[in-house]
Amino acid sequence: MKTIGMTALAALAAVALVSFASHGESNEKTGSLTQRLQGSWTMVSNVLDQDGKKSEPFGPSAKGGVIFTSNGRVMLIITRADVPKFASKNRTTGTPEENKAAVAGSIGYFGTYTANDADKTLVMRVEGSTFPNWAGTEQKRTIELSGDELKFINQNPSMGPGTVTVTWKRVNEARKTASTADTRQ
Amino acid sequence: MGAARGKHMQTNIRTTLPALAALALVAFAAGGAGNQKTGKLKQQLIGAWTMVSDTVDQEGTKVAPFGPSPKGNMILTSDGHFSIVLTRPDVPKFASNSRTNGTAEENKAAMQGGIGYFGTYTVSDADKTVNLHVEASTFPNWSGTDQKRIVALSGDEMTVTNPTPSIGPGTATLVWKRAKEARQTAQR
Repeated sequence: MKTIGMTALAALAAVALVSFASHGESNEKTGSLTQRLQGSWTMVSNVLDQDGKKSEPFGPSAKGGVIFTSNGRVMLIITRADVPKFASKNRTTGTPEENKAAVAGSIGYFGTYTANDADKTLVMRVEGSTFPNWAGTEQKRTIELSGDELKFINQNPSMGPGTVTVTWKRVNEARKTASTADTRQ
Repeated sequence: MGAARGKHMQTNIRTTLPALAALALVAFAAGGAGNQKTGKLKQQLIGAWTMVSDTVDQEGTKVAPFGPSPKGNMILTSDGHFSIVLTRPDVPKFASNSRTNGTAEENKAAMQGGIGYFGTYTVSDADKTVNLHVEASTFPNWSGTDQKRIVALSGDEMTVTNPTPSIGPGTATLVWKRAKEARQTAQR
């Protein structure tokens, strides 16, 4: 009897766990592209293809983050990991070499976004950018979204001709990570 | 005695099962609401913000490092991530149209007129501060650092004080306004 009771308990607890877990992830699986983009993403790789010649414009250990908010705003930042620090410790008094390395090794921009389910595209209307040429522009990306992996395909990268493929991974919410840990116990 | 004990056990299970199931539910509900327990201030900070002004006070001399009409955004997510980009709108565009081929003057103007950084953040209700754990920044000296800010909220306006600005000595005061709903704006 004791065993049956414990089994029933465990089963109920499992049902409770599953129902909560699936509730939290519903947007990612069934929503529109716009809904599925919402959240924080961390960059996994950034590869430039110029006529078959592949390179990593931000280096092998590049760091990047992009956030899509539920109210239609986006902000993206990508940097090389090896940009030398400014000796003056002051952003406005870099040497020509320091400035060049920092500008060539990073980009940040923000604005609003819309995603189109039909042609799997993302349009970001850039309000401000550390690369002045992108301020006021529309940046269009073809996107591929599969589970927790997102790819941007950019035919007009900020470093000149070629096609850039940026791969992102969804950053798990602290809350979800905690529930996952509970399930394992 | 064996039968009586069995009956007693059955009753116990009948009452205990729903109680335990309820406990499990309550525990999960509490887990879901966990963010709200982390602080009242954080709840007020979550969202997207548009920069209104940025003023640096250097021993009484006030400067606007991003010009008179700066453009900036800050996003603070409920799961503890942040991203900030501040720009001067009058930074000259690069003649080459390539970010990696700017002239020395173009690079200098872009560096002086823009910064972006992202990472995770924590909030202290007690001393009204936000600690930005910077994962990476377009200003390399800030990558991997903690940037502490004092925040003051009034309705949809937030004032952020930075005692260690990226342009050297002084105290920077940034005023932010909660960003309008982009979709609603588009629909109007």
